[in-house]
Amino acid sequence: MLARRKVFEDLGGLDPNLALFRDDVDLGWRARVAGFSVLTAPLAMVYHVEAAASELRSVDVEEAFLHRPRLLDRKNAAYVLLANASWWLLPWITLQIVGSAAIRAIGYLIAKLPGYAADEIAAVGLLIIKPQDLLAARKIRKSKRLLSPRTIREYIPPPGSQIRLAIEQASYALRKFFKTSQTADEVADEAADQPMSYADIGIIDENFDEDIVLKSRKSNWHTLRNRPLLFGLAATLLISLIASRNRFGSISGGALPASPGGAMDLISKYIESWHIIGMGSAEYSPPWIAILAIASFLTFGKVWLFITILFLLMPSLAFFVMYRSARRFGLSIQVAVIGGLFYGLSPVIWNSINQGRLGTLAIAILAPILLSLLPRTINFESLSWRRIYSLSLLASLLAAFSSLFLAIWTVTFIVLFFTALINRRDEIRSAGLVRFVMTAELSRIRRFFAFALIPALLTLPWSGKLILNPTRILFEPGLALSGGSLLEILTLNPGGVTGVPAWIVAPFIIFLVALFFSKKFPIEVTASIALLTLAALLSRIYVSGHGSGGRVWTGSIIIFIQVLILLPTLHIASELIPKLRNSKLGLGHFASAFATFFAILSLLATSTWAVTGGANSAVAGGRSEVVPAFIASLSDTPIRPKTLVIGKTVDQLNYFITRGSDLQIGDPDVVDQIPKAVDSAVIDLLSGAGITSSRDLGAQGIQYVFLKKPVDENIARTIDGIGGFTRSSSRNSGIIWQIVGSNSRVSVTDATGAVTTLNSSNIGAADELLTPGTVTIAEKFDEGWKLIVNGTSVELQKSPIGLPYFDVAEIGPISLIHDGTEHRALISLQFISLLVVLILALPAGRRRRELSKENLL
Amino acid sequence: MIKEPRWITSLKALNLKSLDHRVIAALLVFLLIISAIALFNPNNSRVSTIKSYPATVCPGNLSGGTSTSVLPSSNTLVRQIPAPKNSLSKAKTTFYLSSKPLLVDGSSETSINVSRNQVGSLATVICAINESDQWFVGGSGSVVSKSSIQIVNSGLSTAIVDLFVYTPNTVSPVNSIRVSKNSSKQIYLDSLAPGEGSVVVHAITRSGRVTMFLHDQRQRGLQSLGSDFVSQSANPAKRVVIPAINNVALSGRSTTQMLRILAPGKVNTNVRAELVASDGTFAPIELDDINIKSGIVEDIVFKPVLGAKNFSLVLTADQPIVAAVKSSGTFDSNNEFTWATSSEQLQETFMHFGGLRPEVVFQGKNLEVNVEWTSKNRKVYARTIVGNNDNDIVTWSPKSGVVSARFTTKNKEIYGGIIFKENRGLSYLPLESGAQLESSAIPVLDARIISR
Repeated sequence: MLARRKVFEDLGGLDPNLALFRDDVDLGWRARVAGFSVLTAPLAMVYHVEAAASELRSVDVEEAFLHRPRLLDRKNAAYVLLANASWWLLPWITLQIVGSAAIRAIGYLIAKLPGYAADEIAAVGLLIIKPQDLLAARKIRKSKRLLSPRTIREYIPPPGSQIRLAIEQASYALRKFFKTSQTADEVADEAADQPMSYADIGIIDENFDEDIVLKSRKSNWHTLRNRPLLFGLAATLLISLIASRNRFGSISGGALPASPGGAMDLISKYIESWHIIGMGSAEYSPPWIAILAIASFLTFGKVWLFITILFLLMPSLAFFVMYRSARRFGLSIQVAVIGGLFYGLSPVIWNSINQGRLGTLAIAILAPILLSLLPRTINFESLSWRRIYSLSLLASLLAAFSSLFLAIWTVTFIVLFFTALINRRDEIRSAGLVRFVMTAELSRIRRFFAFALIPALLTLPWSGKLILNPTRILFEPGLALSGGSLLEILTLNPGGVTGVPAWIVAPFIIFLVALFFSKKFPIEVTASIALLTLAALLSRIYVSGHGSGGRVWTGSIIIFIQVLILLPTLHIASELIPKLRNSKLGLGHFASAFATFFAILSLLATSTWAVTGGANSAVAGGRSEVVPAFIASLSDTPIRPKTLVIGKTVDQLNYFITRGSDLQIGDPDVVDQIPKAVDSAVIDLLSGAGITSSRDLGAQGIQYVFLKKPVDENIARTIDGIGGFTRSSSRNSGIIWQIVGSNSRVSVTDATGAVTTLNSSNIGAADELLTPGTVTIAEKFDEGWKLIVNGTSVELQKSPIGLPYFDVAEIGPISLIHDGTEHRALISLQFISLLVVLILALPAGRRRRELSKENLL
Repeated sequence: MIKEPRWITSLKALNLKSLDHRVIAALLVFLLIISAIALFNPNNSRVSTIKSYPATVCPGNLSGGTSTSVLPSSNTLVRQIPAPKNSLSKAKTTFYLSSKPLLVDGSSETSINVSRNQVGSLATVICAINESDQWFVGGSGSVVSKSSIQIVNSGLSTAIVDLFVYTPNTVSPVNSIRVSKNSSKQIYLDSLAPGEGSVVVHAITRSGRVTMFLHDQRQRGLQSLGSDFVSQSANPAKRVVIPAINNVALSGRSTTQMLRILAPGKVNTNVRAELVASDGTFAPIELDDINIKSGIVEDIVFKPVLGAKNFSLVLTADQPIVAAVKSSGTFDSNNEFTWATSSEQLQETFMHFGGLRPEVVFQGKNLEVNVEWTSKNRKVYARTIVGNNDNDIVTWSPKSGVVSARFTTKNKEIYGGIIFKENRGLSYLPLESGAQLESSAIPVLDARIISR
């Protein structure tokens, strides 16, 4: 900064309140508004090491508050703004200063720099509690001011410049990521092709301009050929595009129900303590619902769009994560791309897409990342705590989508934890448990404990429910659909409807045999065989739950087996090829040639199937609604009717209870058991033996029966003939009966037996009770139901048919709620735990003095 | 020295002995579990069925005398129709006297209703389930008739029944009858077909859980001409079998037989009737070749000359027909009649007689029926009823009263009918179950049906 002495003296010199930091900016501002010219040289390069601000040099701030340079810097910055800005802009600027200080403070807290966070807050606080300095400064500036303070706007960069810079840096980082493995020449060539940012340039040398020489661009095909990663991504995307021709729009089918209206619906589903599905449910929603909701904000809150894109990009995503894992495993680009193709186009991926297995697809993305980050031995004491938290966070993410993974992970680390304790039992015996815990070196044991605890903690309260209902471990997100035959499982094809046919054998089982004989990866082979045994065993078990039933789907286990097999196999293959080249023709050559031929054939067969027959999958887009519009239109009325939907497949008669809408994502995961009374009434109705089916169903608030197309005439005749069911309509979609004398969702029965409907919302109800009597809720009984009449809570009771009811003796306004205090408390605990683990997992911010000079520049 | 083949050398190079012990342990466990799965191969079929007997309905008192429902057990759950509560309660007796129709909980044993008018004329009928399509061949709308139809709606919604009344002149326009939930309605035939002596009623249930009974009672002045229930006939068919027709009244004089026949279709038909008795099989001259106009009820009186007490009638036609025989005579100076209606082929039937003494007549080729019954002294007996080549009809007459009896046969085209004779009355029942064992797939809770 250069200034004429006269000007400097006329302006009163530097502000004495700014002993250090920002005094130069303040002087420039004051000079400009006093009518002097202020010139800038934007192309000039000046090195300012910022030794004081960056804490590289100890600064004499003894007189400053708390003697903290950063606090002084932030305070002075705010001071300059507030002292020089015009009066009418002051409120806005004050708001900006407070807001930005708060945001920065939060950022510093997340970066585990509480000192900097305190500086930010204290800087603003100091200015606010001592306004007289500011007022005096503004008075002095006013006496010299000739121009408006806003004249300095020309020196401030436009608001978009920082965004542009951020985009430029991100773009640069991405390009750099994809070029990491190129030869030095290619890097040099392509670097010349790209416009350089200031971040690239760093220190300018005299030959800078001369270095920028435009080179002729190569064709896209040439680029694709020389970049295997891009080739792999393009190939998987092209195959997926063709295979997904029936899966555009809002997709559903198989295990995947329809998407809700928006991400907020999913969040509500996660937070609410009562779910209006079936006869109602107080089950805890699994965390994947919240994760899906958050992820859907990427597509502007449209869940269907996110899922459609996810399913479309799935082969490419699977390819990419396997590619990255392979690279991390030390494999070459070419080998990593081959591994990615085997993984991305494997039967388990296609079957999961075709059957709507959202959980398995999430596992397919996350499992390679987790397995490549986990240490290959159990010497966990060498892992940093940040790594422990990061891995636990990743494991929690997997656990959110697969309760089976959560169970295996938690049990494994609990076993390791106790094994480690048992191994040190002599120490415990001699020192005592408390002394041992307080004084002994427990880095390994603590790490095992953290690994066992964190995923279970972060998936609360859902994970807690799994302990009480262990069979739920066997379910994946969505509807329970059967997997494949034992033979399919043994060939690492999870099977199921519209899955890859059993005759297209995936190459992984041959890879496993090869690994078995190689003897180089005993842990991977042992784990793979153990998981395959588990998959085979589970695949034979029939489980009922998630609103349906089927043999256990083992797709997630197969994903892990594939990852465990694939990376070591590729490693062995890349080592074997040079050896085979230099050796005589033998069994090894034939075995390798066979395995390669088989693997390529399998890959081609799977891909060909995917783009032909595989496109006709259980999951499809643009399907019409199942529940008739007539019933759907009643779902918002105060009576909130339920409808019994009956349908017949080839060999099975099925039923379910709807509140007026089709099944939506997340619903199957919270479906609770239907009360026995309803089940019996439905069985009696359909067998024709039920004399009182209409009364029994009507008492449960079921007001309609919908016999879904294709209509079984025998069932229709049975319902027509049993009495109590009045045919409302017969449409193309099916036949609807109204149940005579059925109750509304919330009703009151007075002493004379007269039943009056009370206005009900989806979960609660608010109305005026005009007569004393029994208020009955046609929902499953749960202790959470609360009725408040005239501000007084009424005792909850359970009717003989399992409905909650309240005997109300007085009239007045009533309020019915489902008390979700415990539910919310557990979700809060989960959120706090997540925040803590997230902060601990994130890289710690470095103090400025710890930054390198290049970074500072 | 012989050189080893290269593949053996390669195999040796694998050095399997050096395999990791963890890998070998995992492999052994794997093989063990896979073998176990393959061996036991758990059956995962989830389709299961439920078998149940639907509830049946016994008629109310239509005769003006007494009406007793004979129930399998005093613990049988029943409910009168109408009743203030919809729930069923224990009957507490096996002879349930009620003026109202009675809903009887489903059971393998078929209950029967025994009704006597004021002069002791006997009428019996099977307590039956609801049917959507019923034929009643019998009854009269003439001036001597007190015949009535009782329509019982045991369901909890309003029922609608369409009645079509066929007479010797015409078929009446449809009469739609509305019956409130959990109630019954009695309609006299003289209001449906005034002055018509011969009536066939076809009832179609449009909605509701409806069971119907036709009670035929005749009276001239104060003199009773007899009464009986007209049991539901088999559906129209080209071959109709009336298995048990009584030929000898207790007074020793032969009864008068009258065949009522209707071809409900659009085309006239020729009918040939064959009389099957222990005396032999022949076609009575009156019934040898009958031309029946469609939609017109024909009454044909015939007088078979037989030594046998009971006989069967087998009617064959070229168009579907319905038919029944009215046997009338004098019983201990009282006039009495019974309607023998056509029956379906015999299937396993378990009847509860409550101590009555039935005469069961079986008709059919290759006749072989197993009867297992419990006598009044609670002893269980069993017997196989076998026909012979000459006779296609056999009558089983137990020596004393029977509490219950089970009839089973492996053969097809065997028909059965039951005749009750008392000092002052005669009645007939087709040997059929009031409710068949209903087998249906158990519906399974499955949210997939509301998933797109």
